Amino acid sequence: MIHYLSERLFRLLLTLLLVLSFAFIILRLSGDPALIIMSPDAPPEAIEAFRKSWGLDAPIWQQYVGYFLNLLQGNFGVSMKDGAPAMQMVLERVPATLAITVPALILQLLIGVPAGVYAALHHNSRLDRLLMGFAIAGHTCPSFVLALLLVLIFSVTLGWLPTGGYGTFEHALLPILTLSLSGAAVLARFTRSAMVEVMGQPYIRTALAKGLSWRQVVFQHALPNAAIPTVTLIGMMVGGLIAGAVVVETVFSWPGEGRLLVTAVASRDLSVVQAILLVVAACMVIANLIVDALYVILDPRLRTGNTRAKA
Amino acid sequence: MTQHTAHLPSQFARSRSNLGAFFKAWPPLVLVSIAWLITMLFIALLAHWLMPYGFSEIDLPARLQPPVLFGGTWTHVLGTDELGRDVLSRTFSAIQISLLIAFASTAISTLLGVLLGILAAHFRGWVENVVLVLIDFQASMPFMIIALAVLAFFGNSLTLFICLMGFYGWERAARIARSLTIAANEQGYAAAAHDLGASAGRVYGRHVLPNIASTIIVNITVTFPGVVLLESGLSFLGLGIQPPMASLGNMVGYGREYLQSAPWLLLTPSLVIVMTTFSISAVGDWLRDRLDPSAN
Amino acid sequence: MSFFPTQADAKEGHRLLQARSLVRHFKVRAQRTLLGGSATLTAVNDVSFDIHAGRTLGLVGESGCGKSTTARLTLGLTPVTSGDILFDGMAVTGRRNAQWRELRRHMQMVYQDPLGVLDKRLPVLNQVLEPLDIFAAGDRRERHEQACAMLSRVGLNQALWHRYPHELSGGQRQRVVLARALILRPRLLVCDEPISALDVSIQAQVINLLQDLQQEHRLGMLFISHDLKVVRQICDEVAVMYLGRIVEQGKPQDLFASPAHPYTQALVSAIPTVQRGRNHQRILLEGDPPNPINLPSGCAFHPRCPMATAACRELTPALQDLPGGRKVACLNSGTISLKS
Repeated sequence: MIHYLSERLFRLLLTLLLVLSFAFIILRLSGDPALIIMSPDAPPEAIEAFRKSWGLDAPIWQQYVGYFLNLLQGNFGVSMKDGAPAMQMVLERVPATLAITVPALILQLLIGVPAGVYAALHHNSRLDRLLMGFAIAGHTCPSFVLALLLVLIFSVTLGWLPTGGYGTFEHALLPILTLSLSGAAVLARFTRSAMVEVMGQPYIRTALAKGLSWRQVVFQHALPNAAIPTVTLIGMMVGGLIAGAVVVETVFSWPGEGRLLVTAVASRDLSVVQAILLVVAACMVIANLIVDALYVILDPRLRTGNTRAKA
Repeated sequence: MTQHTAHLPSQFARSRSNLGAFFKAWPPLVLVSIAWLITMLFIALLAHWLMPYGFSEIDLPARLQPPVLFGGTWTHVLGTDELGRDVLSRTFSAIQISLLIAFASTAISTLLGVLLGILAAHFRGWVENVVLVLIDFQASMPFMIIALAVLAFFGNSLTLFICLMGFYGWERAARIARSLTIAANEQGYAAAAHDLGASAGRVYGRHVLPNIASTIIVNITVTFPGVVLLESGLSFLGLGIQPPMASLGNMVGYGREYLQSAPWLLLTPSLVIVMTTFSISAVGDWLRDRLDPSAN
Repeated sequence: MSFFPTQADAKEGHRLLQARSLVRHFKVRAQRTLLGGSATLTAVNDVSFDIHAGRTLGLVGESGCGKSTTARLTLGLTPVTSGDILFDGMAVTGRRNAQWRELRRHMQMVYQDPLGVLDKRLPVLNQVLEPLDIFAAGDRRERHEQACAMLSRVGLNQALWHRYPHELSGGQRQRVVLARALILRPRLLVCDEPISALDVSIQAQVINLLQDLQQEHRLGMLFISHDLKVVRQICDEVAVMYLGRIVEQGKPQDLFASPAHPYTQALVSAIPTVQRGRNHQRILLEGDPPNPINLPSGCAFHPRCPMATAACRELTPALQDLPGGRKVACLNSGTISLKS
């Protein structure tokens, strides 16, 4: 088990390294970083000083190492717009994004998993087809369309909720709902197919033959086994939430990471974009680690070190 | 004929009529989806000739007219936007652009993924490790974020955009191609073909590719809507297709201001996006069900 | 057609293949991680044999004793770690160069799982045609004729020629695999458990077919199986393998009637016999099952051998010749008298 987790950690750190290198490469490829990170109006001496401090006159591999050293020291450059340190700007917005993504994740699980399980247990019935129809619709509807639709219904027509802004629970409700519905649809479909596969296994039939009630079979045997592949999905869902937050925060004028990213890209505020990239990468690494740890807890085959048997 | 006393679940019941049998093999939903997709393809190819007006033809006196059944006239069937441009024509043009991008990107992504997957499976060793690391990298970050970073650093031209979208989803195709090829190479038909003395090109061209094709095609039906959604999302944010070109996403973006006053501006492109992605997903699901338990 | 070797090349008894001191190691991960150490799996450990035209050498042993690896080494499908293989004087290496490809025309393999090795998307006639296409033998019409003739020869009904592999039965598929293997008229055929996956009633038919084809084409065969009864029927000579070594070799009738090596004795005693009134003593082997990663010192069989002595733990016995063409690798073989 330690081997499994340490190998996963190693691979994730490698991925993080790659993301950072990717950021370095595209920064270099897109032009002179000094001119890009400092604004073009800056005095030539400042640009020269910047070049020196970032070692831009040194050979490329030295720059690469210097880049990482800078990152480790916490030097992420400054925002072009107002000169504030980029990472500080980014970290300030994290709570706002968490305020909608974490409830959305919980809501996704609460809606998607029961829907998928229910559909699986009533496999091929009208209800199953209906639920899956909704699931496909939710999955294929772009988040901005969904967001605007919800605004149209709940804000414009019914007037129950505000169209956007930040502050109260009412402001957060529509963003959370939008974020969660799409992910819930994917989760429902996936849970359904995982459950259908588990329910078709011989050990379920045996459990029923032994006299266990349907409820016992589902909760003690089917669900824990179906949970294993579903947990892998959670890692992808976190990614989906981060990507979804970009659009949702823009539509609802919610001042989180996503909105910051969009404005930074539009104004080509590269140090902010870079900082956000790193924060997102770190988030994904953490999320994947948690998923892997959950995996080990749920799947006894991994505890004894037999990763070959991974489903 | 004897009476059928047992009540069979619907999928096992025999169809009494030919029509029933037809609909069992081709569910109505799938038929509608295929019809929609063919219509979209038709529009995308012939948009130029189908458009009643130019897509950027401004007609200020006629601005913000509603569609024909909601108070408008037949001159502008789907209404006009804030500059008097015909929504129908702009929608056709947008369909053309969005589908072009989706087709090109899906093609690039699938080719790239299958190529890398087969290379990884054929050479194993360090080649495979490099490919696996790349797959991990691609799968670890949400593609929207990567795309935004690239757009921030490199700006936005149509070719760049298509190439960028071409990187969406290649890792799925690569994973599929790699695992199927390894299985074929280790114990299967590809190993036997190699042993007969066939060259690698022959083995992969004549044996492996036809065998993995059906799974790859199902994967294409997952990638294609993904690209459509991604591109329309980016265009909606103003970071994708730039004006004067119309894409389904940026039409929704511009229509956003008029959500209350002229909702048809964004409802039409939204509807097209949703119908198109829904259709492809429905067809993809149906294809997967057909291809999986069959004699393949 | 000059494409195919003439009959004169395949004289009965002519030595086709000579394998000497074959060794094959595999690197395996002790723990399947990036950080774990690796261990060496010894699949084949100093194996030598000859294969003659028109004769069959059998290789028997339990799973994991190295039979399949030996087969792959013989055909050059896997490179050797050390040792030589000569086919008609030509070296057989694992490197897939032009010479290797040329050798494919002379040596082919029949597999255990006929469904897995056939391309499920091609009709079986096309698959039998494939070797001819690869080597561009004659024109289209001639190749088609050859393939049809071959399929008839292996006894596949013409109605089935355009079917797909999954539409045929196991025995029919194996016939297709045989046809594909023999269409280039190879001189050496390696059969790796060709009938294990078939029903017992079909097994006999396929064995008979193999024997007929061998006689007709003067094929040298290496026949691998864990089924001793079949080996007894089809092989002219049998080699018993254990943990990558040949421990006994001889004519099947003699070997099974009076096995010399303790392992062979245990194997033979395990063959079920339906004979009333016959007292049958089964030899049960104790000790750990063989592990090719952790080879025992000295004689590989000593942990389970009922006759092991202290010397067996130190010295690795070599194959010694006994009267009657028998070879045994056992330190105690001198003290065992061959019961006639």
